[in-house]
Amino acid sequence: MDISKKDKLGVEKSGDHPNYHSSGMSADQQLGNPSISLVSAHPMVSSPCPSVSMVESFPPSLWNPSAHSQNSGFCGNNVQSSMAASDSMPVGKPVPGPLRLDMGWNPLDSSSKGSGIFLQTGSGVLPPSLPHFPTDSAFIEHPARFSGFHGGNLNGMVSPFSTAESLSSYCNTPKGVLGAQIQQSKMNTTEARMDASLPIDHGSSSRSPRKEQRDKGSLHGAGVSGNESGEHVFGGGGREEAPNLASPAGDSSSKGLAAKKRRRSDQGIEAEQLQGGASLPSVDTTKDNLDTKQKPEQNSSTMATVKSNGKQVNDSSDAPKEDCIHVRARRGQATNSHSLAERVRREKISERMKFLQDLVPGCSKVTGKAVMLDEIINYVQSLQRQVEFLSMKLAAVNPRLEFNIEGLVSKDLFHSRGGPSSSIGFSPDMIHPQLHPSQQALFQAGMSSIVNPSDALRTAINAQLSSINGYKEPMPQIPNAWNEELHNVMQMTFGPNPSLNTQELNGKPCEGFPM
Amino acid sequence: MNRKNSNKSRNPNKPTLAFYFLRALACINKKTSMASYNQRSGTIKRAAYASMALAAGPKRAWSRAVLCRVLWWGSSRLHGFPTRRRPRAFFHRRVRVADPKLREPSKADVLRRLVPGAKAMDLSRLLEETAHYIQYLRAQVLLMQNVVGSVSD
Repeated sequence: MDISKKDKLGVEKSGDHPNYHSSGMSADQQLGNPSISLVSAHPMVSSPCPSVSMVESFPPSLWNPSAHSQNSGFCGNNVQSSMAASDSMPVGKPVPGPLRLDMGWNPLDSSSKGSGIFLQTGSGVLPPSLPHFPTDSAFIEHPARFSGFHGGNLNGMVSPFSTAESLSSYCNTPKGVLGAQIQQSKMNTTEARMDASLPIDHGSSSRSPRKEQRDKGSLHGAGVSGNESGEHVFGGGGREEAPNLASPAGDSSSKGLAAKKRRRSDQGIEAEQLQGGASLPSVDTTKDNLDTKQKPEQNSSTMATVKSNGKQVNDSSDAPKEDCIHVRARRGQATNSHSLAERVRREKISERMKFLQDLVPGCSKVTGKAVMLDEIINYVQSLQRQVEFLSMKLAAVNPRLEFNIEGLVSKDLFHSRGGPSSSIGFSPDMIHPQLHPSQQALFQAGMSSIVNPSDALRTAINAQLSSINGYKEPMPQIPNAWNEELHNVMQMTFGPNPSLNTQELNGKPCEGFPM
Repeated sequence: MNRKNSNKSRNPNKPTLAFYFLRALACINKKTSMASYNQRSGTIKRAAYASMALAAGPKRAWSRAVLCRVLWWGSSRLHGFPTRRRPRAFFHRRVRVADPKLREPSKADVLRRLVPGAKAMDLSRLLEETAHYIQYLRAQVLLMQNVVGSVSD
């Protein structure tokens, strides 16, 4: 298939980017959220063959506008796939065949999807012969996506997809793009690979010269540009890349183009891809190049898409923020390290908000941070009020407590644990400085009656032992300071522990205590 | 992911919670049977929070803050000093009339005031602490409801 050949071409050309592709592709692919691309995620790298076959198996007929929907769905799947979830790749989907430059932009979308698949399957998307460009085939497909002509299939896709998109857009003018993409892909941990592979695959001959140019240029600029690798990659031949690398201005322009392109394709996908691939300034340039090289109609379409999606396109593309988590800028978003960090922070917050949504009852339908925060505040206030009210109630019935404390203990323990084990664990913990012999006997009895090997039980046993040893650590797992604090609090707030516990223990109708 | 681990709430250890609280209740019962009703209720409330914080462990900021409050309050009481100024309007829910910044406190600020020990935290950490705090609050409320239910039966 052409794709395989293209892949090979790309692989050979971008042979210097083997590392990037493998790591980037797999990482990007799997990232449901393009923001994080673990460089180390190379699950897919090892499976080049299947991806390749997939690429090859896609007949050109797949390149049709209808593929967009599939692609977008695909992209969505890809996006949602976990980092390491190679399965997320809807391999089974009828992903359009490898990018066929001449097919036009529509196929590109589908291809990008496929490339996405490949990416996830790992860098191994490329045929074995292309070790370093596992994502070549995917890359080819991605260009379609990246170019955004298809309506943002790329949105869901990580940078590798973006690169593919750029490639796709570059279909007609893959030469420059490929080179740029390749270089950019290198820079972008995850997406770099895709880009490199894609451009290579795209332009058989015409592209190669450009790619080489780009390779050189993008290599330098790869680190500079941000996640808009996809677009950059397509930015065109290396000639533009070089200047782009040097000056973010070019990036901005290319980003604008990329933004335009993205508009056409799935905005989300594009944005993500751009971010992923936009790490390299060269990407921007590639986009520029891509635009220029693209056919007039494509250019217009891409321009339209790019503009819409280009968020912060003009931000200077810095190297992707290197946290302990590798973040990839989304397509159409700034590749500034600040914005990347901001995005990570925002996603962290949204993740926590989702978790809180599960905690707070009746918040499933609520959307938006403000309303959620209101609900959370109300819930916390109501819980605190409840504690206050219940404490008042307890104070009212306190006189009756001493008679019922044992029952309470057992009851609570049964409630919480549903078994005597907890009670056993409970009683030993009622350690008092004065260890009565009855208490000790109780401990032993309790210990002997311990049947439930739950963790709490073990804890209780340990506590018993420690308590017997001299009231050292009622809760062995708790650090000493904490235990001391516990004792302090209890004693300071509530006075010396009376020998009530002993009596309670003796009189406790717990199963654990055969009294 | 590291983030996920930190985000995952550890379910509160109910037996531990029950143990601490009931023990505190027993102590209060013995000790403050002569105290006024309000005093007792306040003590019980503090006991509830203290047991909650103790069960939560020292790893959470809110548990440490709660214990600090309880200790501070306990020490001031023990030393005979009137509780002239509570570190935070926590136990008595005093609402500050004039916000120092003279602006409508944002929701995050309100939450920060509610969750103990979350004054100087960024939003993500604040949300995490809130989640943990809510979990333990809920467990504490359930426990107290059980106790009240069993006592009143």
